Formats: sequence, structure tokens, C-alpha cells
Amino acid sequence: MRPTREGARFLLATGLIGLAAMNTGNNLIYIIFGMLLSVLVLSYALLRTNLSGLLLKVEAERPVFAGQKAYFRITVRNRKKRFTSYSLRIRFPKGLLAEERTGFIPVVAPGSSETSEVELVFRRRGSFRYGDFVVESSFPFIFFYRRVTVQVEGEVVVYPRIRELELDALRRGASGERTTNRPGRSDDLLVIREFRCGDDMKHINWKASARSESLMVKEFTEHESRMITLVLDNSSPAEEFAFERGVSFAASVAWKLGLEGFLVRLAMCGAEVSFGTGLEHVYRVLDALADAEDGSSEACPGVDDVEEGEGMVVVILKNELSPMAAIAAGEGTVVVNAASAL
Amino acid sequence: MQHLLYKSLTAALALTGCASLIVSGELNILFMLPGLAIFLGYYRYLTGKPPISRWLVAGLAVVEIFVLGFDALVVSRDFLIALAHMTIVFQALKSFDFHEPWDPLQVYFMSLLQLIIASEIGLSMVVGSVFIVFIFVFIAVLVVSHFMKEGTIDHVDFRRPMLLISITAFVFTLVFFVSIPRLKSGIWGRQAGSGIRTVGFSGAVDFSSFGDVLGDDTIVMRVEIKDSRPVPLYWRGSTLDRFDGVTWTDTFRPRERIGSNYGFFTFKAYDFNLDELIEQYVILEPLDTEVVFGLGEIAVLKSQSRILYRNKAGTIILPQKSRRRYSYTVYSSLEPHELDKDEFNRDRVRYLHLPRGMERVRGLAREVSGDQALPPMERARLLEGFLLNEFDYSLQTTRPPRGVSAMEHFLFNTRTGFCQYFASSMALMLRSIGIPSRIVIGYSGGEVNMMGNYVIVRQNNAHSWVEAMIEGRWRRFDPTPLAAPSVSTGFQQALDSIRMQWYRYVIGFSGSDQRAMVRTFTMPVIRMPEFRGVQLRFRPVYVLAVLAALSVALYLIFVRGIEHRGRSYESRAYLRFRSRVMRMGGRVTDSSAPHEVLDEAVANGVDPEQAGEFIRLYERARFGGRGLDSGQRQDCERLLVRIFHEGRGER
Repeated sequence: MRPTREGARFLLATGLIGLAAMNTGNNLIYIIFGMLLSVLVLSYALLRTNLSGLLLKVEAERPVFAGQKAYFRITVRNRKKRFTSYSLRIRFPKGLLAEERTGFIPVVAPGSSETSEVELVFRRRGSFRYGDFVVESSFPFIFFYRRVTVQVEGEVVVYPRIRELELDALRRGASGERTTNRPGRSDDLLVIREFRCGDDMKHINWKASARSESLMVKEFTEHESRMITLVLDNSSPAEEFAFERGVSFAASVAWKLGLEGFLVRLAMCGAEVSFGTGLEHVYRVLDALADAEDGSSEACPGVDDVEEGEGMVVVILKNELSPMAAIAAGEGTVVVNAASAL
Repeated sequence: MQHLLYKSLTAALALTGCASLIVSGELNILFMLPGLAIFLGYYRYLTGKPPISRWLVAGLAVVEIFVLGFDALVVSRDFLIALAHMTIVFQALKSFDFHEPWDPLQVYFMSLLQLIIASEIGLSMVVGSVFIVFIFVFIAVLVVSHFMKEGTIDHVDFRRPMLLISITAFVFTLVFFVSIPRLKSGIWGRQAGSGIRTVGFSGAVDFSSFGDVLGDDTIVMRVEIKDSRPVPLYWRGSTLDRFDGVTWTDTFRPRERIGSNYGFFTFKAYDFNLDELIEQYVILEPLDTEVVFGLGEIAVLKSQSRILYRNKAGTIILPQKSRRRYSYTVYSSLEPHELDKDEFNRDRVRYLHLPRGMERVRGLAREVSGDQALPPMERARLLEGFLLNEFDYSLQTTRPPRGVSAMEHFLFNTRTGFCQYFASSMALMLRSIGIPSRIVIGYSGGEVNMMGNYVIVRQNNAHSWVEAMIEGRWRRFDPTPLAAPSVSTGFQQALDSIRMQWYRYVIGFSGSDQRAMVRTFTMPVIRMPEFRGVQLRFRPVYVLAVLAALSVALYLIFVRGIEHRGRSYESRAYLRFRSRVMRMGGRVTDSSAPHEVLDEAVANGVDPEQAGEFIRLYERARFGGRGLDSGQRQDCERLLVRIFHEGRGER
């Protein structure tokens, strides 16, 4: 229990009134002194009660990007049977954020939960353990406050900063007519095969079905152009600024094109996310980029790992001496200088 | 926008503070007039009008400080009264000056100051009523101010907590009031007691306090008088022989210890015939004195006490104050006996002592007592008659002007007072004309209960009179005129009874009351049976020591136990772990996170794997929302044993 500014004055006043009571022996001053002492005792007792029996839960609303507003839901459950908890201020752990942010829950009835949404901005990407949250309250008066530290399990993954990029060149460069022998969404027929659960009904070939007396569907080829491989150079330590720009560039490309339906693959030293599509896949790519570390000593992708015919390759290089520079020499490869990537 | 209730409570608190000063009746109306602006100020505040300029408020405040100086030095000549005037004006100024949400705090502290001043300048029951209102409003407004500060006043139903906390705080206030040790150091300023007192027996006669003296119907004793009842009845208690200008005290020390002779105590040194003495059977209620009362001079006393004391002035004293009714039989003589001349002469100076500054009293005494050639008895009768006829009885006294003693104020200014003033004046006047004298305090009269044929003596019967040494005997004189009989209605009596309770148990609550309360509560525990010839006694220090030990034990058993029980198994186990780490020298505080405790444990030689496993279990159970099952708890216990016993033992 710590005094606020008003509380310090209150303590001073209590001391002086106590002295006055003892000096004069005046019972009316003893009454006032008794009243002030009762405020002290009640402050202590109610502050303890108010903050006891609380369960804290913190959830982040995905996705969380560095430099963008993120939303956290703080839920406080009051496990006490009789006492309502008032005026709960929840402070985020120091170090998690550049600026101090708090959530506030005015009242939590016994046995119930209340949620507060907190808007905050992370400056850096990465995975952050929640750690020690501080729950604070000054109820019932304004003279003292109490803090309890609550360790919250879990972590929040902050994705790299997403920039506005001009991606038309990448889209055009990857929009050739070549097709692959993989099933996809082009207009070129690949094969007619038996219907499988999940197939689109509009692709049923009725003539072939009649002939074979079973449902047959048409399967189309995939355009190679909708595949993009992002190669991030994290081989040797470089200027942090340049590396972060490279990471941010890769994340921006993955986020934008991934949401447009491109098959996105990420390759860097120590980590690889193979081709995939959809939001969850994009999150996997962003997860890898969130934790990407420069100067990795792990094995780096080589020329053999980037096969020809697997779409566009974008190599984000820090410098020409990088072991990944060889990949950049391949046909149809776009090389991006990390330092000037954005 | 500030909540209307918050504003209303602030206004109520300010007005309560001002009212507490006004009802004391000590303030100057002229200096309070600017304070009327408070109504306009709070009207504006409550209706949402903007505050006035801060410069104007500051300017007026500076002017008021000059007024304070003028008031204190020239008009009221009392700093406390001047301060009271100033606080009323400041409250009025503040009512126009609410800029910030926390500005009302200044009003609260100002009201608190006003209440303190009020408690110093007036002790009436009306002030007490204001106190009770103040306590409720003060606590309520503090709770509301919390919600105001948090900005949740419009979203939270604060009325229930506000009410509950106000009531609880009031109860706590009462508890603190009766339990705070009464220490009266009197280092600076006015001292308590400068107000109203109640009628009753006290071991001294004191003229340091003024104001009303209230009646007290409490029964002091019931007395059966064998044979005929003498008239008037003077229940003699003790004598006071020294006056320092303010207080009369008994200076006879040491006391003579008298042992019981088959239950009888004989005090009189001269021959007497028991049949000629008046026999009285007395049932004395517990009193705040050790003095024994009886008619006239007590010669023999019969009681179950083993010892009694008697001083040279004839006061009979119990070894200690009686905590319960004390009954005894006294045999006393109404006729004063002749004293041994040599023995008396040794104390003669004592009975002629006068404090400084009694010249006017001496002059009056000489003027009233006539020719010096008159016999002492006649001169004493003249003085007694002067006081009886020229002065009026009143339980109201006023404070004398600066530089005037209470006696002079009585004799030359007011000419009204109660028995202590009359007896003291006569004793001093007798001394100033060379007649040895002393004051006797006790009770006079009583109410005869015709049904039981006994006399009921109440605190209202407390009285002081004079004894003068004339012709070798102590002669009684009573210069106090009869009080006008008053007829009070039932309502007046009820009101008086409430006032009596207020003054007795609030204003007059003292350390002895606290001790009596402690005795009442602890009596079943600490009072031991009395065996014949064996009396077990407890020194207060032992009782306090036992109480302190009990408090510690109760704290350990209940408070710690409750704390412990209130926590889950996981928390308890973790706290044990943490406290062991602390004992091992780990720098751990209440706010240390589990991983910090773990780091400290490892740094102090605990096996990191086992400690890490324990912390992992704890965190999973504590923050994962699912407690440990019985098997996991056993694992936990085993881990703790291994961590702190086996593991460290192997090292």
C-alpha cells in the first residue's frame, strides 16, 4: 500500500491531529483522530480485499503488426464470493511496450468477469512473453493505492511492420501463361478424374460421367505465375536497419500477395515455409519473419533449393557477398537490396 | 461534468464545517458575515456556473489574511476564534473557485480544520451532532471522490459501497475513540477541560475550567442510619488544605496504615462511647476515588477489608478504588472533638497558607469580618453570612478576564457560583484574617426512600464546605446559599440525560474509563477467586503482557491462518518456496515474479532442474486456470522436500 499525493497530505494531517489530540486531551479531537485512523484501516483492508481473488487473462487480436494499432482484450475474473472489486487498473509489463499502457475495469461483480479492450502499438517485431502484469487499485479512497503483480502465461507474436509497396511489377512479372502440371485455377485442363468430396460441382463433366457411369470432374492446371518465393538474406550480421527493412519488405509482400491468393514460400537461413496459400499460411510466413534473426548460423538456402518453374523468386539481399547471392543470379529472379527495399 | 451528488456532498461538508463553528456560539457575527457568500457560491457550483477569476479569489484571500491578523490582535484577541472566522470566509471563497475535479479536497481538509477548531472552542452536544454528521459525510465524500477521480461515477453504482463504508468507518471511529490511549501532554495551546463539567465528587477542587456544570443523577451510595437521622446530612469525604491559586489539594502524606481488628477499624485517638456515635450502614457504588464517606468524624468502621488508611486530616481511604459495591458500617460523631494543641500547631502554617495575589480578598475579608477584636467564631459567622446573603448560587460560571483569578472574579465581578466557589472563598477569607481553615469535600443531603427507610445519595449531592479551627476544634461552616428549586419537564429531563451521557461518555471519556472497560471485559478471565487470607493480585503490566501475547497468538492463528486458508494449494506451496528462498538469502520481494524467485533460488544453490520443475508446475496451475490434482500435489511436495532438504544435504 503506497500513498498518493493526497494520501501523503492525509498522513501528515493524521499525524498532526494525533499530536493535537494528545496535546490537548480533547476528546472531540480524539474522535477526529479516530475517524482518520479508521480511514487508514479501511484503506488497507479494502485495498487488500479489492485485489484478492482476481484472475487475469490477456488475449491479443491477431494479427499484430509492428507500428500498427493492436487490440488486447483483458479479462478479469472476480473469484470472490461476496466482495465486488472496483476500479482495477491493469498495467502492461514494462519492456513489452515503448510507452506505458493500461487497461481499466471499473467494477467486477463477485463470481463474474469483465473485459476491457486496450489499444496499443508495438514498435518492434518479435515474440513477446506477456510476463508480469500489474493490477492496481486505489479503492475505496484516493489516498492509497496497491499493486499486485500477476504473471500471465502466453506470448504475443508481433509481425514485421507492413509497408505500402508498389507490387504491380512483381504481379506482372509473375503473370506468364506457363502452366504447371499441378492442379490449380487456370483454364487449361489438366485431367478428368473421379469426383472427390470437396470438389466444386460446377466442374463436373457430365458427358464423361455418363460414359463412365460415375461422377467425373475436370481438373485444371495452375499458373506458375501465382507462385512467389521470398528469399531473405539473414546469413551474416549486417546493419540492423537494413535487415529490418528487408524483413519488413518480405512481410509486406507476403501479406499483400498472400491475401491475393498467391502461393507464397519463404526461405532464409534456419527457416523455411513451403508454398501455401490462405490466411493461416500467411500467418506462418509472418510468424517466421517475426522471429527472424540476423546473422543466423543455420544452413542457408542455396540455388538447388529454388527450382526453376516454381514461380517468381524474390531475393532480398543485404550485400553481394552473401551466400544467397547465387540464387539471385537465376533466371526470373528479382533481387531487392535490403537497405533500399522500401 | 462533475456528478451532482459529489457536488452536493462537497457543499454539505463545507456547510457542516462552518456549522460546527457557528453552533459553538463563540464567534463574532460581523466577521462571519462574508461567509454568507458560501450559499451563493455553492448555488453557482451546483447549477454548473463557471468559477470566478482565480486572481479575484487570491486577492480576497490575501485581504482575509490581513483581517485575521486584525481580528486576532485587536478584536477577538484570540487566535483560535480569529482562525475560525477566517476558515468560514475561506470556505465561502472556495465555493466560487472549483476549477479542477480534485479542488473539493481542499474543502474537506478545511472542514476538518474547522471541526478541530470547533472542538477546541465548544464542547456542546450540538457540536457533537455536527461531528456525527461530519463523519458520515466525510467518509461518503471520500468514497465518491474515488469514483470521481477514476471517472467512473456515472458507470458504477457507488451508493452501496459508499453507505457500507461510511457505516463501517463510523463503527471503527468509535472503536478507535474508546481504545486510543489518553495521553495528555499539554505541551502547547489550550488544554482540554476548558469546558463543561458535571457535578460529582472529585479528589480536588479545581478552578481552571469554566462554563456549565451539569447535574448527574447517578447514585453514589445508599445509607441506612440507625435511630434518628440528623439534619442536615453532611457526608464527609476528604479535606483539602493547600490552594495554589487554581487548585485545592490534600497535602497530608504519608497515610497511617490501620489493620482490621476482627473486622473493626478504630480511628479516633480519644475516648468515646460507641452508644453515643451515629451508626450508618453504607453501600457505596464503585467510584473514581478511594475515599470512604460518613457523617461527621468517623470513629470506627466495620468492613471486610483487611487494611485501611487514614491521613492526619481524618480522611479514611481504601487501599484501592473499589471495582464493585463496597459496604461498610461507620460509627461517627457529629460533634468535633478537641485537638491536641501541640499536634495542631505543627500543621497550623499549612492551614493559614495563602497563594500570591490575594490582597483584594484579604481586604474584603477584613472589611466583612468587622472588628478584629471580635471572637473568631463571630467573625467566621459574618463571613459565612456575607456569602450566604450577598451571593447567588449558579452552576454556570464564566471565564475571568486575563489577569484576574477565578476567586477574584467570583468575589468581585460575578458574585455567582457553586459550592466550590463559596467554600474556597470563605476558606481563603478565613485564612486571610488569621483563622486556620480547610475545605471539606463530600456529599450533603440525600433523598430519603420512605419505602426502605434509607437515604439515597447521588452525584448531584456532591458538595464542598468549610472547616475552621476555632477554640481547638474544627467547626463546620457552609457558606453556599440554597439553589433555587427547579421544576423540569419530562422532555427537559430526557434532554438533560442525553447531554449528561454526551459529557460523561464522550467529552469526559478518560483513561480511567478505558481501564474500567478493560476490567469489565477481562474480569471473567483475570479475576481469580479470593480464598480466605489469600488474595491474588494482578499487576497491570502482567495483564498487558498477557494481552499482548494473546494478540500476537491470535494474529498468527487467525490472520495468518485466514490468509493461508484463503489461498489455493498452489499459491501456498509457492509462498513456502519463496519464503525458503528468502531465508537462504535470496533477494526476493512481494512483487518478484516466479522466474525471478527461481533465479534467486538457483543463485543460492538450489538445483535448477528441480526448482524449474516446481515453478513450471506452479505457473501451469496458477495461471493456466486449472489447479493441481492430488497426484501432482504429491509431486510438488516431493519436489519441495528434494529441493530444500535432500538436495542441499547432498551438497
